Amino acid sequence: MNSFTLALRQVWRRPLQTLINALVMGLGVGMVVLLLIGQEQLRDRMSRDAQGIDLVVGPAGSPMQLILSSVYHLDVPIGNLPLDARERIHQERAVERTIPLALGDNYHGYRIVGTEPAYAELYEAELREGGFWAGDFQAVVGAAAAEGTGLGLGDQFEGMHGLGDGGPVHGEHPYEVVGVLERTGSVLDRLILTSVESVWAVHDHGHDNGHGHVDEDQGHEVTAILVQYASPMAAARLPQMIDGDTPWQAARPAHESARLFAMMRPVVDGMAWFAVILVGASLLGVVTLLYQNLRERRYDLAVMRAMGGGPGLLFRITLLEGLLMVLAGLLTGLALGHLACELLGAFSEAGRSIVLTGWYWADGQWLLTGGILLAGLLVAILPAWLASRINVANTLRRGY
Amino acid sequence: MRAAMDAVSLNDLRCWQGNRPLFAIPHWALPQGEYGLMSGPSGCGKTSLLHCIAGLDSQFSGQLSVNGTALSELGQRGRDRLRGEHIGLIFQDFHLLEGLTVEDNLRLGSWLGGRGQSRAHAMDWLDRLGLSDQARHYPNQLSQGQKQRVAIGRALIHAPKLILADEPTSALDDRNAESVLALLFSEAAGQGASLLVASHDNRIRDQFSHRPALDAYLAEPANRSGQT
Repeated sequence: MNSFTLALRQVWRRPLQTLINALVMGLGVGMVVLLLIGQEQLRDRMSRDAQGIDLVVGPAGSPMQLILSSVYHLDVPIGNLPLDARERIHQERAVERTIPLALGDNYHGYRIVGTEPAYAELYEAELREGGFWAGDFQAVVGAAAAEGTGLGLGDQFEGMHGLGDGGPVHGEHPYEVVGVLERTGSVLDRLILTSVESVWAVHDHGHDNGHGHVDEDQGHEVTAILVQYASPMAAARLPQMIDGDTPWQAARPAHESARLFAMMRPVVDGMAWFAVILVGASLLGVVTLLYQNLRERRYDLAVMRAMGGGPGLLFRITLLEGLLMVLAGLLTGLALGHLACELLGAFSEAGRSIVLTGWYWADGQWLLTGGILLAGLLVAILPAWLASRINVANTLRRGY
Repeated sequence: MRAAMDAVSLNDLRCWQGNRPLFAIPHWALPQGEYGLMSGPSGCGKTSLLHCIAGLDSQFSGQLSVNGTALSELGQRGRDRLRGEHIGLIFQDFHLLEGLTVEDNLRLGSWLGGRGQSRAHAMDWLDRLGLSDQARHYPNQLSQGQKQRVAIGRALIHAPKLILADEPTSALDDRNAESVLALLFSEAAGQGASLLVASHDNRIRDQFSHRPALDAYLAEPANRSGQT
């Protein structure tokens, strides 16, 4: 028996109030945790997906849409641009390399991307088995796509038109899986890569059938071209050149993802304030419970003093009671926050967008944990002080 | 020299409740190992005197010594320690901690009395109190008599030199009152402790050899206010 077990017993004497209060605090803390780990993972993921891509060139339109469709593979492409654009970009000396992307088909919701092996190099992807394509209609499957579709080395599959599951099937040109990639933790995991020429070939045929989107009269086209700079010089000149001198547009992933976060900001702030109000209300709840305890348990406290316990003991017990209640709320909140993030991740993975996990600890959580415990300590100090100052003789005389 | 021999010694003790003088005692002492009874109607100051002796109430003037230690020379910490180690307090309403089991109530007494909190020691006491089967029970599961037995155990488990009991039998029926008093006497004798009981319970009057002349001082103000 010590101050801690005495405080624990006291807290357990009111399981319902303690649990309700822990739940209210848990909801607030959980919301903050979800915001912290959700945002940080999203940020990590978005910067990982955009690594090595300094600029994206595509047809004129919304730069955000261009980035979302060709870097994060979330949105639909704006349209196409001629492959000639690539040569034009390479005229700029500060360009290290360019990677073409040809989108348009999927296999059970996993996008088929016509590109070059350099695209996989962007994400330092390694082959788990097989190799890259040597000819047309050969495909390399990302780790999550392989898992989701069950495709393995040597399997054949037919692309479906469009970017979502369930489009018309391109029956005449089945792809053969020649390689499977290791997991990279990037968007690449959810993609099926093939040569640009294969995508063209599928759609040349598709065009004959009346639902292709590659216009042969204008020569071969791609959806977007990813650009990697050789020197910062390019950053100053290339976007201006593209936007000014060509009918295309240049969009910077870093800039657009920053804009995206800025757009989400009011929602995030609103949720954060709501969470702060919940946590504040639950701290008030802790204080109320402590005062209630103090009133109802005056006699117990006086008896402990009569038995030789010093004022310090009562101070410690009351302080610990407050801390235990706050700790219960904090732990509930951490559990709820991580659980919510894991569930959100499970649902969004089903929708094949950005993957979240509950098994993540953001640095901000240390601050949150410390802050909540400190707040608990602060709100418990006054009741604890009052407990230590209790007038033993008067309380004992007065009876219950 | 004589003060060191007495369990309790009072000299020119005056006590107040708020601004109201409660009692004034020129001299009185309870010799070591004796059992004393303060009788008198409720409200006459018996409880206040017990609180003063226990160091819980410091609204007094004059000399008050417990086992030779003058309380006025001790700070709050010193009085807490003296009470914890040398005094066992028993209340009319038992005042067991409702959130603790019977066993833990005893262990708490032992712990706060500075005697550790050995489980075996607590079980040993429960055995002596005839409450072994109730070790895991909570106070609200006990009868009045059982509660008072636990309270006595809790007050005596740390072997105090002085036992102060405030109306220990008033809330009990005849049979329980008798057995609780017998327990109190036998445990006090076993530990060589002095016993001072404050009670207006006439059933127990005859059992005390030492009835201090204190009653005269105590009864006075209460009678005055009691007649209105």
